[in-house]
Amino acid sequence: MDRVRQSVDRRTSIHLLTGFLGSGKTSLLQHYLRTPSGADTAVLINEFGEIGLDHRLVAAGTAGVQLVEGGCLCCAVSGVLGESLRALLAERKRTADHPFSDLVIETAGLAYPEPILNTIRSDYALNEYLRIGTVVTVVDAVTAEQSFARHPEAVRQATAADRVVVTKADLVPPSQVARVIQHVRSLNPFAEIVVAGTLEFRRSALFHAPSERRETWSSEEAPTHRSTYRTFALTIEQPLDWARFSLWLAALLNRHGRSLLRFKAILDLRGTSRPVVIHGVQHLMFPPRHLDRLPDGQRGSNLVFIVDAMDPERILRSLHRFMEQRAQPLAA
Amino acid sequence: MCEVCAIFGIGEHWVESAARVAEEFPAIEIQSHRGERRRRIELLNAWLAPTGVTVHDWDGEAFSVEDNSGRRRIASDLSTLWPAVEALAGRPFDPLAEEMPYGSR
Repeated sequence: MDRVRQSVDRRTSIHLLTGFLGSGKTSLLQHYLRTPSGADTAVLINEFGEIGLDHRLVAAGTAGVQLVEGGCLCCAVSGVLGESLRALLAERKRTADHPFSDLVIETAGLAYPEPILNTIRSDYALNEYLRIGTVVTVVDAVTAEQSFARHPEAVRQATAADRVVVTKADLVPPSQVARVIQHVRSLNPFAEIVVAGTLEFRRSALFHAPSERRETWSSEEAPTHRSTYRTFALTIEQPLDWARFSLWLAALLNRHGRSLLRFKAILDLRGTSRPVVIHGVQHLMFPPRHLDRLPDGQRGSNLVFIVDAMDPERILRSLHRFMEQRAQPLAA
Repeated sequence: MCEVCAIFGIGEHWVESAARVAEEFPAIEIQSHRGERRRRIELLNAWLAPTGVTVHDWDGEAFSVEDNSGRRRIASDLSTLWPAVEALAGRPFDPLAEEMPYGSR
């Protein structure tokens, strides 16, 4: 294995397409695969059930479609997922029949996305060739509010998203679409939200990385019947001590990773002029990104947490104890 | 590799990744990385003092977690450090506990 990578990352992007049962993931994928961007895309589809059907619906002519059967991708078959990915990569290397530049995993409707991301990230062999790209979550405007209220899977899919695509907006009044968007925004202030079928939605850009949306960071109660979900934002004015903060964050993830649905921060670190963006989904931390300077209007470090059944006040007090620095709630 | 990228097991060894950071003077970065590692271990040992568990640098890359009876676990990064500490301390380290988890700074 070649352990020295080029300074430019040439690994294949692996995107996740998730969304609750019947939300329209496969239709969206079919449309995407017909665009020029989708032409070189390999697809891995997982279904909950013994006999897979969805893969037959995906357009022919894609770089390769594989079906992972025998259980939900997130809990039952993570080993199978790794094997399927390795088989796809090996096939690409061995023959010229199935070249692909991108890879998409369509998850089952009842899948939690984080364990799938973790499977990819924690496999050293796969990491040599694959890097996690964009998480796209499909949200059905007709049933979203019921799904969020009743199914934690739907909430976790929304909180893990980099981009949310709202489907079936033409089947409900505009006011309902607006409510669904507001609900998604409260669950996940990081995600870009687009409505399928509108001018702003570009099929070919389905898996393009969204730009930062720092201006939307604020503390909100998620308007869901499950009142345990909360989004809150903190600011720390003085530059952060990275050694302390990293130890604290690792300890927090170790004890409370399951409740920390999503975490993102733009950190102003002591001893360097370059701020750093870090983010994670549950236990899983993604590679940090360096910025040249803080976003306009930001002073100090901003941190946003999306949590399930965690008290923001306890996190504030804990930060204060460990960091010996005062954290404040960030106003909208 | 910069200090931020070097934790959580998300990068490779700094020798392999220094180029990606595109720093003009990698040696300065390496020194800074080592200094931060020393500081992190000092902090850890201050927090863990009441438990008898100590943490040492392991070859500049991993952590050696040890207790008074000579038991030792090697943690490859911060993600595996805390479970190793808890296993040897025999109790959880919960940063949200209202007192500092082990009653000390």
